[in-house]
This record gives sequence, structure tokens and C-alpha cells, in this order.
Amino acid sequence: MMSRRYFTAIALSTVLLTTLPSCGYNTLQAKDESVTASWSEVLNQYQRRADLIPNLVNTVKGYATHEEKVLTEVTAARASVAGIKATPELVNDPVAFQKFIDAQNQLQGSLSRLMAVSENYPNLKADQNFRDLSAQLEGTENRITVARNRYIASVQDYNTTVRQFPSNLTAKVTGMHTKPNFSVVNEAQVSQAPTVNFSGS
Amino acid sequence: MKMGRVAHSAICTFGLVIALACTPMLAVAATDDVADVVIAANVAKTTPLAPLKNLIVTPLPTTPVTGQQSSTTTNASQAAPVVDSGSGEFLVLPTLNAPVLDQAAALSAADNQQLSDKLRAIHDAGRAQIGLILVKSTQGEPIFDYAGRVFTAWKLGDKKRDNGLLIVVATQDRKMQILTGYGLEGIIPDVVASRIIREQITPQFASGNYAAGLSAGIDRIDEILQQDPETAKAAADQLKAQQQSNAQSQGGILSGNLILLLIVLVVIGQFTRMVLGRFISSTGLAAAGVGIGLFTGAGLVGSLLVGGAVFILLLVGVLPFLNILGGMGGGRGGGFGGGGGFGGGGGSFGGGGASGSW
Repeated sequence: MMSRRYFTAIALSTVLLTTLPSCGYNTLQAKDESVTASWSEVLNQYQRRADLIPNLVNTVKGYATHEEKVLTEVTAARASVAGIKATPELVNDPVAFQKFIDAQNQLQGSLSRLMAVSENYPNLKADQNFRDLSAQLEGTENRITVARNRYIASVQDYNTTVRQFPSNLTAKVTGMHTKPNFSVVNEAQVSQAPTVNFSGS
Repeated sequence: MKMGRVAHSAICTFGLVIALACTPMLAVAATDDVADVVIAANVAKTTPLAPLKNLIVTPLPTTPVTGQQSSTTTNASQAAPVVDSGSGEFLVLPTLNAPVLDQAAALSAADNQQLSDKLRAIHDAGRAQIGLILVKSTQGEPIFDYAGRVFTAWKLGDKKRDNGLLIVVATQDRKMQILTGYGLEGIIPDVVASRIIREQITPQFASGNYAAGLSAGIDRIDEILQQDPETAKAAADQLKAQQQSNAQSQGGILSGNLILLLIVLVVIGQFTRMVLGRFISSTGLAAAGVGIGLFTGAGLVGSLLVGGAVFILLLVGVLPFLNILGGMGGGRGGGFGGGGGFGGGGGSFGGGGASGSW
């Protein structure tokens, strides 16, 4: 009696172990994890940019004394970015995600205005410190671009799996939803953002 | 532990229900809510990925921009010609087969040779794999994007150390870009790359002297690489491993005997597998290989290697095995033998580097 029950249990779990992956459970988990990882990289690079700003603002302040407005704008944008708690879980909350991205785009916009303004100050442009900072900023903006591209790709991959049959059923039951991507509106803003390039002279 | 198992089996049961219900639930899947569809549309619009670009570009006619392009350098003639579609499309990427690809015909043959030698020397010493490409123009594409596509396609640097570096020069655009692989970001930070561009390279470019600028820039990069203790150590390790494997393949008496043993066993195996079947003959002969190896004092590692090799060779068959080996090639930092190729070794980049103009 006992052994027969055992046999049924083994048979059942064998069937489950073979059918479960076919409904995409493992694939979903793996892709979910890859989205989290690529999002962490995006956050990492955003953080890197935020860390650069105080130094940059201080350096510019020393030369561009008449650009109070742009400088406060950057500082305010950075403060609002810092105000949003950036966690890996952000990808599971489309509203918070959107808010975070908006704040980052705001920061990017005000930063590019700052860099545009600093064009008018030859002494600032010749300053070694400023040159180094703008090189770092440029590299960071590029890293953000790369990280964001990889995030977009991994979310596309994940969302496709979540929406495809039969893994969509597994996703529904286990409560996995499509994740937000960088939307069209933002993409338009992003593509307008000028690249930071001051290394030439 | 027990709880975990209970939870697991609960999930599994869930899974079975899903599996069984898969077919009738097709209707549910079809009536997904509108919001999802919108998101999907957004996703589709917002993924301008590199492969997509390539897809658009490839069907275009591949006409060389100028006649002189292939005449000045040997390398450029092997590379895919620049597509001048005139409609703002992206450039087709050339294949990486030499350290220097001069599609802009900006270097003399001697300069090209000299720069190639330099880059090969750096690669041979295991410090980094540096690629250099000169184009006339990126045709409106930001130079960082173009450089990124090239780096992704070429996979400069080896997979483990990610020590690739790419220098892109667009002569007519008067722009250039240095991209550093992940492993070099710490040794050549963006600031350093930017300074090299500003101080060594672009001052020479301004007077049209591309070779001198690039040469000075590469020298400076190499200098930094040599000063870095970790790079030096990794390079030394790599050289040592190379020398060891060279010494081994030249063969002491011992390894020569082992190879002979391997060949004999595989030949025997070709007969026994007809009689005994693949599995039994490969297992038996593998055991025999280990035994003979140990008995003749070849050492445990060598004997096990022979045993394993016999097993795999007999199980898979010799020809398919060679095919597999061929497919696995290129794992180590893009070695270049005979034909003078310069293949990438699987390196990747995350956006590090700097740009410059003159």
C-alpha cells in the first residue's frame, strides 16, 4: 500500500518535472532575472552620473558666474532624482518606473543645457578639471545608453515570453506581468538629448 | 526542508493543472487586455537594436566609395567595401581580419605596417587586443554608435579579461572615438582616454598627420598597460601558459607515448565497436587506457586524459568530434596563426572610452 503510494508520487513528480518546463516556468524565471540584472546596470550608471554632478556644478560655478539659473536647475534635478528610491524592484511598478525615468530625463536635459552654456566660457573649457569631468560625463552618458539598450532588449525578450502561448498561462498563474520599457515619448526626448562632447579644442 | 518540498509540490501541481489546461485556455490568451497590447506596441517601437540596423543595411548594393581605396593598403581590400548609399543609412561593418583597417586610405602602406606591427606586438604580449579602424565618414551616425556596433561585432579582447580596445577615426567628420572593453575600464578610465586623444592624437591629426598621431596614442596606451601591475601579471601568466603548452606539444617522451597510446586505442576501438557496440567498447577501452597509462607510469592526470579522450572519441566518433573541436575554437583571445588574421576573442564593452574631434 505504502510502496504503491510512493510509486504514484514518483510518477506524478516525473510527469510534473517534464511538463512544468514545457509551460515555460523556468524560462520565465531566467528571463525575469536577466531583466533585473540589466535594470541594476542602468541604475548603477544613473548613480554614477548623479555622483559626478556636485563636482561638475562646483567647477562650472567657478567660471560661469552668470549662469545661476542653469546651475540651480541641475542641482534641483539631481535632488529630485536622489529623492526617488531607486531599487531593482522598480521594474515591477510601472508608475514608479515612469516617475523615475522622467526624473532622470529631466536631469539629462538640464545637464545638457549646462554643458551648452559652458561653451561660452573659454576659460572654463580650458580648465583641466572641467575637461576631465566632461570626459567622465560623456563616458557615463554612453554607458547609460548601452545599459538602457541592453535593458530594452532583455525586457522585450521577457515580455515576449510572458505574452506567448503557453508560457503566458504560467505567467498568469504565477503572477508575472509584462515589465515597463522606455516608452515612445521618452525615447523621443532621449534621442533629442545632445551628446556631451567637449574633448576637442 | 520539508516545508520547501511541500511548497514545491504545490507549485508542481499547479503546473500540471496549467499543462492540462493549456489547450482549452487558448481563448483566454487571445482575449488579453488592451493595456498589454499597447505595451507590446511600445516595445516594438522602442527597440532600435543593432541587428535590426544590419538587416536594413545588408540588401543595399555594395559599391566601393573610391577606386583608390583598395590600391593603397592591403588590408582594406579584404574588408567589406564602404556602402555609400547617400540616404543616411548606416555603414556595413567590415570583418576583423587585421589590427588596422584603413578604409579611408589615410595611411601609407609603410605606416599601416608599422601600426599593425605595434598592435600585434601588444596582442602577442597579452596586454590587450587593440583594433584600429579609419573610415571617411560614419554617414551621420554618431561615432559612438558606430564604434559600439564595430566593437560588438568584432568582440575585441578575450572573453575572460575583456581586454579589448577600439580606436575609430572618421577622417572627413574629423571625429574619433576610443572604446574600452570592460576589463580595461579601470586601467584606462574615460579621463585617461580623453587625455590621450587630446594630447597625443588629435594635435597630429589637425595637421593631417594621422599615422604620427595614432602611433603616439598607441604608444601611450601601451605605456599605461605596461605600468599596470595587474595587466603585467595577467600577461605574464598568459605567456607562461603559452610556453608551457608549446613545450608540451613539442613533446617530452612521455606525452608522445600517451598520444601513441591514444591513437592505438582509438584504432582498436574502431573494430571493437562493430562487435561490442559503441558504448561498451568506448567504456572498456577508456578503462584500458587509464590502466595502461598508470601501469607504464604516465601519471594520473595523463592517464585520465587519455582515458577520457578515448571514451569521447569512440562514443562520438572521430569525425564529429573534430567538428565539435572546430566549433569550439576561438575561446582564447583571438589568436592569429598562418593567414595573419586578427579575430576577436569574445570581449564586450559597456560604453567606456572617450571621443574627440579636431
